[in-house]
Amino acid sequence: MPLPLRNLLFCLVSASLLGGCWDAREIEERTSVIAIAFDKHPEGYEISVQVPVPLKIVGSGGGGGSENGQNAVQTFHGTGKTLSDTMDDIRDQTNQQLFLGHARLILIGEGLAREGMGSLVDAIRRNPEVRRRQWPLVVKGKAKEALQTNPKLEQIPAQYIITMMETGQRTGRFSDEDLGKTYINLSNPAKNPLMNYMEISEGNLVWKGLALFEKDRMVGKLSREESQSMLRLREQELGETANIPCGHKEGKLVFRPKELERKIQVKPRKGALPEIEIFVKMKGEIIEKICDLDLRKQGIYEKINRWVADRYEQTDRKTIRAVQKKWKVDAFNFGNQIRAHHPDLWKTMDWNREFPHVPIRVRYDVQVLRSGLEAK
Amino acid sequence: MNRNQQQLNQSISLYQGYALVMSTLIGVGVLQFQRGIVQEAGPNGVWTILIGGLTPLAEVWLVTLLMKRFPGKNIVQLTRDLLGTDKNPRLGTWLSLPFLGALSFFWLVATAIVARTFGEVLIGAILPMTPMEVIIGTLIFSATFVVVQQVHIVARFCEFLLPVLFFPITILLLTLVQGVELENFLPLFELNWKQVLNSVLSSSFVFAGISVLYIFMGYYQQPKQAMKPHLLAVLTVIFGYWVTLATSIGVFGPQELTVMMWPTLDLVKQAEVPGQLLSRLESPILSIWVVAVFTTLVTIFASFVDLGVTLFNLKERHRKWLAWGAAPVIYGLAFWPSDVEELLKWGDRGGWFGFVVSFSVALILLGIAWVRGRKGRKSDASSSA
Repeated sequence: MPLPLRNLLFCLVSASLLGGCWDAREIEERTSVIAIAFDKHPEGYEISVQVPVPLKIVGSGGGGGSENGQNAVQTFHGTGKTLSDTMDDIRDQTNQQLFLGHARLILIGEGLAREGMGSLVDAIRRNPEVRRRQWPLVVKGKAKEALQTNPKLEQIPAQYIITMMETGQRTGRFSDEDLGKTYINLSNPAKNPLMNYMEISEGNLVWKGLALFEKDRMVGKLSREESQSMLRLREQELGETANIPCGHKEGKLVFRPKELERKIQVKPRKGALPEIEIFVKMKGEIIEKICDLDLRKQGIYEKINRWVADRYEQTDRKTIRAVQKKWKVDAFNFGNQIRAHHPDLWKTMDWNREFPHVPIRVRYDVQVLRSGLEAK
Repeated sequence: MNRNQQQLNQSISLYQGYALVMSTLIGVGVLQFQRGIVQEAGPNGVWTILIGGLTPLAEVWLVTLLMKRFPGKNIVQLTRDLLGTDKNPRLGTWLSLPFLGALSFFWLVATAIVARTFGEVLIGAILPMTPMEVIIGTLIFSATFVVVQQVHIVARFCEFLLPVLFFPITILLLTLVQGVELENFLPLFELNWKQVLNSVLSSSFVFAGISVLYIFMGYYQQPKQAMKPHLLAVLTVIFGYWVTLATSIGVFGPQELTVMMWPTLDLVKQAEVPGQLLSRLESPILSIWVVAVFTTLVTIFASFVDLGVTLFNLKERHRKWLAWGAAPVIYGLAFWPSDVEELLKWGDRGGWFGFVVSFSVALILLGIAWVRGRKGRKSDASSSA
């Protein structure tokens, strides 16, 4: 055989071998799921997946023009005894293979979350397609209903929820724990997962607080105000603005946090439970004032600093008490501090049982930096 | 063999030596070495891996010491010289057989284990539908194409692919700044001596493969100066592994690491490129990893073949017959472990066996060389070929 011919043959043979034809799936041969919803079902599980319809999306160039909301997607439902079983039920309805690699939203119905999501996590962990960076959300009622909401601002409803979560996390109002962090929280004995809790109200999905978990089982839900405390103490996030009383006067000041630094100190005590001390340093600004307080007065900022700190300390104490007494689960992950910094202590105590009785102190140091464009 | 040919044969440069050691050591282990270490030592893996790194350093030091004493000779020619007497050179060959047998057995099995682990990762992570036979077959087939070449070409091949191995560091750094938790590294020093020892042993497995120097150093241009690049290469690898382990522990924490099949892959999954340019980094990383595995496979396989060629005094054009003959054996061996669990066990044991063999061969032969006061003469290499 002449040499050029042999080289050509060699190249062709390698190219055909290296193609990986068994797994070659062109993009149009996939049913790309963008959001998955898990629910409890009398049979076991119910899974709903939302799939964008490529032809209906702007820029696809295809005929038919673009459509919005539920018209741009198709939702499939399946039921089954195990998760894979349920997915198979969905596969029976789709013309192409399901692809989960683009999924960025995992919605869990509250019923399933309260029963425990252990089996669910196991199945999605084993699947190499599923991303670690995606949002797990607990939805009040049925998770599949969240997929049927119809927001107009984004083409794909799930995309709307995703950008909503991203914005909330960036501004420090929502929890930023993604699926990967949930895995870690489940495997670390001193941590517990935390998820954003959503509710459907008038056809819209609304953030309603945080869902508390004891390992894989949801045990309760924090209100909006309690959630802000939780975000500050657990994740060092800023949280929402806070209404501050104007000293003894009528009316309110509104403080918006801009910087936050949290330190947790565990103080072991002899013959007693350890004491946990949290110190939060905060900087921010006044953005609203509805009282006749003159901000130009000498020394007034120092007074406001104290009022803001008092207010924050009160809310946080209330939240800590509620978590300790009502749900009895260490959602703050203080246990992890003990495990890391005081291993001897950690070994001797049964943290999950002791947590409700541990004294926890919170102290704030607040600095108001400015008051907007109004001097008065 | 004429003079020119010999010069060409002994043409591996010092930089190629560096590339050779590095690309041999970085292989399949990169994706799962964390689990073994952390299972034993927890967060302390951060420092036990550095102690574990001392063993390959010692190994490469000993092997280089031995090989540079006999410049221009690979292990077959070296043992023949060292163990035989001037009157009876055949004796040397017979005496060397246990050493060579152990080494070639390790190389053969290691090639198979590397190929199989490669297939497991590929099927588990990105190509679930592709049959194992095809993946392993393609890998061994293409590796054989490189291995039928002479040894110095294999070294050049490693030199060419070396830069690719440095890319993943950037991605690791990206994850590092994004989400490392200090608490994950704590508590330190909460372990007993047995755990330290086990984790040190477990971390020394990942450095298996230095023994290829027994062959390759015979083809060096300047074997006398090879110590520095070799030590440097091992240090680079230790540093690379250390960064990977530290990032994994920092991001996932020791508990999570122990339940992951391929932690490095998950680490890459957790990384996020700012600006949403690339949202899934596994595929680029895996393609770099394919290079890393391929170079490991090729150098070890080439060592095996070259040992055979020198031992049986085969002609150069018969090298390809030996390589193509060994390929099906490796293919068969690769299918021996029945499941992933057994495969990983083999990997651990294989690494351990390889380390012990290469370490003790160097130690024993060095001892004999000192006792008998033998040293290689410069232009002796052609005498055996």
